[in-house]
Amino acid sequence: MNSEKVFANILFFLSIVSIVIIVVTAVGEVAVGGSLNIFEDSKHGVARPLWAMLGVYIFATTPLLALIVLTALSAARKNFSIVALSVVIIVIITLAMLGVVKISH
Amino acid sequence: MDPFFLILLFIASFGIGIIGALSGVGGGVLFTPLMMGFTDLNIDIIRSTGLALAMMGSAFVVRQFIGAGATRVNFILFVSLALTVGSILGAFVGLSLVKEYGKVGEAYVRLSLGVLIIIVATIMLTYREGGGRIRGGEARGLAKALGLYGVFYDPSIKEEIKYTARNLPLSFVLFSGVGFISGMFGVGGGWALVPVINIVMGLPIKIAVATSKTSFIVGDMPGFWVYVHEGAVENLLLAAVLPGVALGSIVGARLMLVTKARVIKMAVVAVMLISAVQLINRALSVLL
Repeated sequence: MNSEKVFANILFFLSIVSIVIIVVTAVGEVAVGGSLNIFEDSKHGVARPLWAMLGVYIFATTPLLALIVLTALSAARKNFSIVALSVVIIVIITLAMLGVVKISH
Repeated sequence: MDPFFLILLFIASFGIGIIGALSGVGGGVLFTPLMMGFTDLNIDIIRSTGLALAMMGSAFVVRQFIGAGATRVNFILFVSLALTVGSILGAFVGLSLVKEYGKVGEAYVRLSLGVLIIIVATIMLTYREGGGRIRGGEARGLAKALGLYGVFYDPSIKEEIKYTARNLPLSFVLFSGVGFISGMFGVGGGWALVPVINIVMGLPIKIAVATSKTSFIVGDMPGFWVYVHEGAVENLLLAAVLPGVALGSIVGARLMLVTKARVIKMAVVAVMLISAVQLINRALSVLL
């Protein structure tokens, strides 16, 4: 399997995992006494336990993991165009994850 | 009431997933105004969910589009890099612009942007792609060095098309410009990526749609982290929206690959016009 397909598969399967965890944790939050009223919650904000954010963290980290694997595979196959492009993006994403670079969309 | 609302969101996200994969937009351009117009949810939570929706839709079509040869990782990285660089600059300028000129200055730029989109949509409608099986000529120079070329078998015309990117420096500047606008005004960029990839980079419309759609998984991620840091994410909302857009995107990607290019182009133009009307409406609500 070439590195592009590995990259695509990591994105696909980790996204499925994160969807499942997000759904399970959302249901879990309600089950342990959380509110179903997202309109009220969104106005006041809700402090969430770390486990409730697990799916979001996995989802938000998925592209970085996929890029790291893609870079490693491309470097091994001497595909330096992909390595060069992805290393720069990995640096930017890491800075954003650490809260150093703030980007609004 | 809330469970019913969540089911409605799931259905709406499924539809947005199909439209997004057909037209190359993330879906935030449809989701955000709908949510802002019909609910009183916190605006940051709507935006973060819109970003997550765009990323998830993108993650679910990468496999299909790369597998079909409709795009390549090199294209995704090239577009994402320019978008991210532009959006960082845009975020900084946007913050100072709002401080300096306030909402009125921002409204004038939104208005100009809306008019610009209508002009670009008109160009898209009247622009005719070069015929033949090779688009953009043989790969050489920077396009060859960065691997920005490929082969795509288009099942709708039963023909293999070789494509090569051209005008790379100008394309990079324009992608950064799209990212800049996106970062500065929070309008999203799918409406602009497809025409730039199609007209300036010289890639066929299906390659443009596939490349634009798949760029969001990387390009939108730094922005999503900002909202994660702020705690502006709502699990229940994501639990309703993400499965819907994932399923819709898979269906939309299959449709996109077998649909005629002319139909895809009309879908792109329709989404661009919706964005333009939305921008002009928001601008006029401040100016009038």
